[in-house]
Amino acid sequence: MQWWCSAQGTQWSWRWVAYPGVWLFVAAAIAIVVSLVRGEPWRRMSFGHRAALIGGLASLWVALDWPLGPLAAGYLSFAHAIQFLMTALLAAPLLLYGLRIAIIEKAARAPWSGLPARLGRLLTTPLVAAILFNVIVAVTHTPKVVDGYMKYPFGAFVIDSAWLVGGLLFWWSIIVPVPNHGKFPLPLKLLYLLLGTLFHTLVAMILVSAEFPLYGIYEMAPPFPLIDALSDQKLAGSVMELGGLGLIFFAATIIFFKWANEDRKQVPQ
Amino acid sequence: MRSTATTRRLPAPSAGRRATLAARALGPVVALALALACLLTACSRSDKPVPPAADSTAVAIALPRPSFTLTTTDGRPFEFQKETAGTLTFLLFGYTHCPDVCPVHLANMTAALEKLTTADRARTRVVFVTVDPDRDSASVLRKFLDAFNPSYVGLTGRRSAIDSAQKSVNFAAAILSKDSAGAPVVTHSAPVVVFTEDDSAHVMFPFGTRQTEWAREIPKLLARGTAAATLSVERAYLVMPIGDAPAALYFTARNRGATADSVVAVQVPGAGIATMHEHLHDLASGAMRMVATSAYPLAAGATMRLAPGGAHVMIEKPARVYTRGERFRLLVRFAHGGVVTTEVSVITYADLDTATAAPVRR
Repeated sequence: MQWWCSAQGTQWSWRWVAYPGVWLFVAAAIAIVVSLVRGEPWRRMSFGHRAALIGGLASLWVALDWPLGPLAAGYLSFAHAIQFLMTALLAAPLLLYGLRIAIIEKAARAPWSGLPARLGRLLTTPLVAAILFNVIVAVTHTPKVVDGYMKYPFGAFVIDSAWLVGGLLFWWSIIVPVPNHGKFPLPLKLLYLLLGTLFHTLVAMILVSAEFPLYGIYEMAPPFPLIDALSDQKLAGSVMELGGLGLIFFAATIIFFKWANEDRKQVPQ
Repeated sequence: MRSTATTRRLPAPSAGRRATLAARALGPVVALALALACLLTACSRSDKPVPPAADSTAVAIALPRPSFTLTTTDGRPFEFQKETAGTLTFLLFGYTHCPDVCPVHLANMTAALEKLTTADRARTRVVFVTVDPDRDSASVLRKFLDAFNPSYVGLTGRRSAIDSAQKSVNFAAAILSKDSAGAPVVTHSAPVVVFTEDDSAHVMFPFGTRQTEWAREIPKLLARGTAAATLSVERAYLVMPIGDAPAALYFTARNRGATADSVVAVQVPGAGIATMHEHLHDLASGAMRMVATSAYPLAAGATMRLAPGGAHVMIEKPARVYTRGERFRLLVRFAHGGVVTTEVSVITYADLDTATAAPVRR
């Protein structure tokens, strides 16, 4: 039994497989979420916040567990792209949106201090978060890292975790206004979203335009019906680009209308 | 709304402070990013055996194009050596129920072959021999290969004939057994043996060869058999030997190029061993002496004529009896210019005058 999904090189089977490491990971995420929202915050959360929280946890679980997890780890590049989107660009913002009130209240009651505060402030600074997110996206999509890491449960775990951490850092600046950027202007947030998709778009373009498969893991994987390695890779690039842009565009639309709404309020009646 | 109100109560850093923070952040962030990159890339090396091979390379071998006859998917006999002679041939052994190695190997090779020009593609043959003839009927084999390319040749036959074919390329015969659950298990050699246009295999590609490697190597293999346009071989003829004596073969080689080259090998597929010789004048005894040579130098712009009493190719232990007027293929390899293929006519000693008097085509 594997504790985390990794490339096996065996023929794909639709028979269910248990990944205890994924369950523990999701259970840990649920525990953290519960510890943050239990009591007063949960009562004050709107339906939208609660739905986002549950949706974020569900998205994380679906992305990491069977069947998407093992498909992404060793069979289909496009499943890998879907997993990336669901972890970094869906689960992360949904979790942060759901936890927004709880985090803000906790920060107000017990302001961070010392090294954790400095580190937290540094990592969630928009420029820093954008750079880190792009570096994580770029590094975790290089063939050397994918082929070298996805073969091992621990390697796959590192990549999946890096996506979640990168996603949380990236979306933090947009969604959670503490500890250090309560005045992150909405127009700048739009720019920030575009900046965040820089390497993501680059990776997607490379995947779509490459003449040959880039990842040995998927090229040498036992064949999957109806799709060859190169078509799979092109599909992965398309999923990454269109899916990623779709999610970013959705977020940008919300920010834009929020911005427009704020402007309307400032106009003297 | 409540959360927005809470936000506004929090002390926000000034613009200057934020700028300082951002500036200060860049150094550690770059370091952090580099550390992450190093962590992710440096740890990727491991000796643990894993199913998908990462970097494979062609294995150098030297093997003449073997002679075996099996049956095609349309039921006709296929003489491998004869029918594939002079082409870049990819020979692989496998079975259609193979879950991973055979289809992946075929798919990767096919992807690279599809990138070739039509002309180059026409110079290639792919021959797939099933090692599981009981399950791989002609129709099953055809359907399997058609999924890759309908031009691929599928061969089947009796198990003993298939075993012999595998042994002819130094592969162990495939082992067919059953696992504890009674499911068939087939163990076979997976490399693709590639015969170049000089009818020899110089490389084989193990499972794990990436499409990029195929795409890099196939043009090189094609180039081995492509003669420079400035080189030509013509007026080739073989004089029918008397009895069991070696046969002598002659031709005229021309180098219209600006750089010197040399003939380094001559092959007559299916005819026997061909060696190059020349006649030397022994100054001590004053007699002519025949010696083997490894090359016939051919200066830029020069023409070299092999003729009786001079340089010639000796076919030792001819593999068959020649008949007058018969024609067969001759491959002449140049040191730099590739391989030139031409036709040899079989003549008798009585025809020699005519043959040697014919002018060299310009």
